[in-house]
Amino acid sequence: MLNKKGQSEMVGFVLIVVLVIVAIMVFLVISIKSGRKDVESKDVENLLASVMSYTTECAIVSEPRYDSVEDLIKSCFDNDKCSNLEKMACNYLEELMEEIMGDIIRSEGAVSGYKFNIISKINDEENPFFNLESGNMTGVILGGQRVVVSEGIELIARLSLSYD
Amino acid sequence: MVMILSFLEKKKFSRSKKNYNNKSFGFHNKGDIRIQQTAFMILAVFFFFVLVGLFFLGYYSKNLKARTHELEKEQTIASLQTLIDMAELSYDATGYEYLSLDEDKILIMSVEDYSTIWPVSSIKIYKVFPAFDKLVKCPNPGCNYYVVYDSGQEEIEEYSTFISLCRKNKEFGSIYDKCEIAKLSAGVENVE
Repeated sequence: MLNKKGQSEMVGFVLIVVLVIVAIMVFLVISIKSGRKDVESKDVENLLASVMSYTTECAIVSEPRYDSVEDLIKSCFDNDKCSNLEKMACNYLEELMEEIMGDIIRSEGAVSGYKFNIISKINDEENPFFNLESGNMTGVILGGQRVVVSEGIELIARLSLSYD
Repeated sequence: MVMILSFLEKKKFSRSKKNYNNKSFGFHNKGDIRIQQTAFMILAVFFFFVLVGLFFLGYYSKNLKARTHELEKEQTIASLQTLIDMAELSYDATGYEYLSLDEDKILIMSVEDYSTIWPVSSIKIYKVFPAFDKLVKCPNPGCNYYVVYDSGQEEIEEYSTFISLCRKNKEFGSIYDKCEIAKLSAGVENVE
């Protein structure tokens, strides 16, 4: 009788432990899932702003009227061509962003991957038209965005960096 | 659930027939053993919940530390903005008002001694893109970093942020704005 009562207490204790472990597991799953969201960062925002101001080698009209990355995004959206490079603006934008972000990842040791995408917003309808991703996006993700306006249409450029 | 309740409920311990002298604390009767069992169980539950509490505390304090670090960094970057906005460094051109420094002004500032005007211990600017293999101090051919000011203090902490380094360039008889990606690094006296 005494042993049975002791056993029932043990079973009760084990049940409490199991319930708490299940609660912890649920908490962990929820927090890991919500942890995937980008955290806005001033540093990434500044990086994106300086990338946007970078003077490219693409001149849509004539040299030396070179596009900045911001202008190049507009040219890409308008499906323009770099007259001096004989390349489409979108192709050149992709090449250039890969080069820029590759060099930045090499100079910033803690960055393991990046995601750069541009969304056009017309009448509250969002359409992605440019997407670039490289490396591992498994660490802490910090992001920033800039809005470029091209002929009344909002183009939202977003950069996310994964930090180990 | 019934078992948990039965575990948690207060029990009546039969001690009436026992004479509590020194000998009685040897846990020889059923009541004493029950007390011992319950005490151990309560202790086990208590330590278990302490462990669970420590886990949650550790988890939240880790997040809190990371967020504090991020906020400190953002505060420092915001204060670097004051430096960027100084007329002695900023680039004046339409469309380049935000985070843009004038390379020509920086070149002059790095050559001449203007040590009295800076609110920080050191100001350095490194070009990030186009990339380079080795550091070459400006003014030199193919240079990639400027030392605008260095007080020579050893106990300083450096904070940095990305900026645009712009200058007026002339090509095909026309002048245009040429900007590169760079990093501004400011050193402040370490008070710790």
